[in-house]
Amino acid sequence: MTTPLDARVPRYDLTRLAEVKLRPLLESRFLQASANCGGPPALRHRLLAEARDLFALEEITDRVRLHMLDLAAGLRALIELRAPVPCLPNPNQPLVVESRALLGLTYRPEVVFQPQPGFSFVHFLMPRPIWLPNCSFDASQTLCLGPVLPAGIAVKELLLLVYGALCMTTVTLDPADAAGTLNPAAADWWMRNASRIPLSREPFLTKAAPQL
Amino acid sequence: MRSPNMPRFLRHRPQRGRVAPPLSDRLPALVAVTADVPARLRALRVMVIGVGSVGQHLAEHLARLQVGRLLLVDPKRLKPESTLTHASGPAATGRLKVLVAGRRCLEISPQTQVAVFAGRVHELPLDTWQTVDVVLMATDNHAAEIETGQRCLNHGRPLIHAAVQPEMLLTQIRCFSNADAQGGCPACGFGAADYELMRRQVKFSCEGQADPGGMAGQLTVPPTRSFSFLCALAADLAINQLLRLLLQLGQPVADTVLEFCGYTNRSVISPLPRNPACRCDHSRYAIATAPRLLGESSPADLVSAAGLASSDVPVTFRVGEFTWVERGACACRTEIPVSRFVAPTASRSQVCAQCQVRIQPLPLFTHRDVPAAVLGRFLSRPLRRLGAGNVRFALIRAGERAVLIRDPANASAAFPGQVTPQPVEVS
Repeated sequence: MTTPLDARVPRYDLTRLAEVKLRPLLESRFLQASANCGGPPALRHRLLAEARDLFALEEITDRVRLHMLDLAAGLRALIELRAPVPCLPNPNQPLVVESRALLGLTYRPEVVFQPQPGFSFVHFLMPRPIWLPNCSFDASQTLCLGPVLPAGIAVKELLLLVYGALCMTTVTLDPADAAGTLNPAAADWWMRNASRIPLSREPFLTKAAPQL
Repeated sequence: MRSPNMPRFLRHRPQRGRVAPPLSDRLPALVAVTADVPARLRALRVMVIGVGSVGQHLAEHLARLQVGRLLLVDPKRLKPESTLTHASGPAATGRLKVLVAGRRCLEISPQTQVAVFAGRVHELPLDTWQTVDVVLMATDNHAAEIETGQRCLNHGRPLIHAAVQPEMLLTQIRCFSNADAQGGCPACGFGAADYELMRRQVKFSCEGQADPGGMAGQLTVPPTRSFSFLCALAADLAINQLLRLLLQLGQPVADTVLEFCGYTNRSVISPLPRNPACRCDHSRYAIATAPRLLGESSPADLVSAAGLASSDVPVTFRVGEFTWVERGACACRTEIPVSRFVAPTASRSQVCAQCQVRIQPLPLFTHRDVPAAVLGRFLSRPLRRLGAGNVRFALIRAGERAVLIRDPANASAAFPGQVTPQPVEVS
């Protein structure tokens, strides 16, 4: 049995997240997070808008699930992202592609005005060890999204970049490239297995087919 | 603790037989000024942000005024083309701008304490701003302007911004009094186009697209072309505005912009109002000195000292340059409680007892501004026991209120973490 395509495509896109009406549960979680939003007024407005975008994403797609959100000093979020996640627990065994990643997103107040290095936003808590050229092969599993990301970049854009990095639709395999090769061994491995790239071509805003 | 990101004083190398003449030898009798001008200038502590084509002239003028202390901030080095617009000559090519300008200032005025910071303005320690009386700015990018404006607002320091628009032979001198945090700031004048340029990381640098010292991926417009005289004119006018502000000469210059156009030889003065939609934090830090050493105080003590104990909005702590590491990870465990303040220069960190691998802080659980809820049961422990023994300042924030608490042992230091230097000997 297949799901009709139109049922899997949400009515909204990333440019219209502010129009998404949240279901009561998400609305109450958003209000709860808003109550702890700190900092000067301009920053608070920005953080609240970014936070609402996250809840709107959770509303319209099952790609994103928000486990924790703290707005007290910047935006910190623990997010479950449905995406192919390449892992290589043992170099002598085949690649394992997990279906979900648990990532920590840190959006510091200075992001609003200052361009930030691409490794300063996202790290993976689960699964381990992630086998990507632009993900550090250490305990923190930091993901590099590029040399420098523009000031004021939106959280939804960061998530889109993370999804692209996990699906390997955007990938840097040259270890000498300044665009963020944090794991040269993985870059070498993927160069030898380039036929497996990308891991998925599924658009970011599709819903998963129901499990039957 | 002494962070590498600290201003450092330059030492004067006295020249045999040279005596620096006193300012009074050339000081004009200013009309309607009764103040002791040399004394006012000797007591003045000035920070110059950006020591390029305009900033180097600013620094030298200040040295000739024999101000008491001068802090120069710029991360860049001189290029061969710098000789076309800078006060320094070709021999200085390749050297740090702050060092070249600092040395020249010391030669001009050995009695001025000259300190330099070869980094970006964002990297200046927060308490540095308390050690200066006025800030002069001549930078090449919007992000630095916003940061400088923001810090001057927070610390209540007057800011004079000197800029040139060479295509129109135009110089602009903005004078932000920051008498209270409700006045204008550099970002108040930004429009959508300016924010877009900032978002795209555009620098208006003399080095233009060939800037190898810029951040990777940073865009620059073609190099700013200017004349030496135009840059010097901007510096001259900025120093004039500084003297007018300091000595209250003529009409008040606070919160005004002075524009001089070389095409028409006309100058225009306009007010600099606050933009209600400004994205900056228009709030002033309250300043307090801790009743005892900060290392002996607990976060809860600091909240009380800041007068924020009854605040009904979430409180956050910034403890010097320390970061609070809530949790880390190692090779065998994905999350390990750490719960300690860690210095940016910390060379040692905890090692996992099982896998013997260094515990790495997890970015999601590492905080520069620590919410009180995250500190939890550690709120009542002295900072020393939490890893922040030698801390110079703490910033306690609750909503729009923020209090900068200084360590009593460091409150009188010339610059963060330093003792006041001995007067320089002049031969």
